[in-house]
Amino acid sequence: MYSFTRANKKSFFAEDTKLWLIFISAVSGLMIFFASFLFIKGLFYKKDIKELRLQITQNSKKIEDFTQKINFIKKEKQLSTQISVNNELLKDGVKNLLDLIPDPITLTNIKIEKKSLYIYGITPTKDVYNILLLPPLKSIFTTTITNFYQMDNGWYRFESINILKEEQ
Amino acid sequence: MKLKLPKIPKVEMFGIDIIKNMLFFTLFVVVFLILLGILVAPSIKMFKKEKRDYYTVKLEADKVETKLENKTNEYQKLYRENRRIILALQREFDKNNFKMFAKKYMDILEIKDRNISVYDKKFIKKTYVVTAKLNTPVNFYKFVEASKNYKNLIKIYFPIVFKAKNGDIKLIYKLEHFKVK
Repeated sequence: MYSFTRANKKSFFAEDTKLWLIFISAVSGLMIFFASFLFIKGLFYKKDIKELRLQITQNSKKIEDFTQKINFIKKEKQLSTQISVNNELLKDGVKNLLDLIPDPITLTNIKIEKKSLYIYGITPTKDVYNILLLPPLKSIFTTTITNFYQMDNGWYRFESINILKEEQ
Repeated sequence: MKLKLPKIPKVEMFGIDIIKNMLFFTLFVVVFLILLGILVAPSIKMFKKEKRDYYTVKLEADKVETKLENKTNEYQKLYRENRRIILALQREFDKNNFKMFAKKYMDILEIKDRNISVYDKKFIKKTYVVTAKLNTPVNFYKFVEASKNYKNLIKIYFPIVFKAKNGDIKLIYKLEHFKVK
């Protein structure tokens, strides 16, 4: 027998079966792709979180370091201010003490300590000392002891010991 | 022996095999649900969790970064403002340099080392006893006033002795030098 038409090649799957298989494969592929995309994105987030945590730890350490440095500078500043104030008070204290000495009295030696003052000098009379120098010394110090030694010319050499017992 | 499977009846409508298509649809739904349950849903869950965690950590990181920035600025400002003090506290005390500095006000005759101690845990305090000669106590006041601009941090302290000697004044005072430990 001879046929004028060539025989069609018969497909293994029917047309609709093919369509279904392609459709199911495509949807599955899309779903796998979508799930993989989310999974990879999640992994990236995880990696970023790890880096951020490391950054937080490093920055927290830096903050701690800066805080310590800041506190130390504040301490240095405080010390400097304290020294400046002390020097200023000392200068004023010495100046005020020396300003107390009246003109007729000559000092030979003066020793200023934190809570005491020793003055050695020469006064023409005991009264000059007692009227001009003793009252201000008594107003400052809690204890004032003075010893006089008469000199050949009639003037007096004196030593004055002044002690401050309480905080002033 | 031949296995005899039950034959599925063929139901067609407009040339479409209804049973086969129903089976494929069922297969599609099953595959869809399996993939959804096994792959997509856990991925979404994991993604959402990581995203939420990321933004929580990011917020914390931003806060810490802002805090660091503020601390850095605060430190730099404080350093600039107190540079002189900071540098002064790092320098060693040089007796010759101090003599040069004090020369304007008094002649330093001697600087004796007294002792070294730790001050406030972080500083070292070196004490010296200075003997000097000056014309008038006013120079001492000026010297104390000028000492705040000296390159070291120094404190003039008691006891202070003024002694009249050959028309001049012999001055003895305690000098404390502070330095970072």
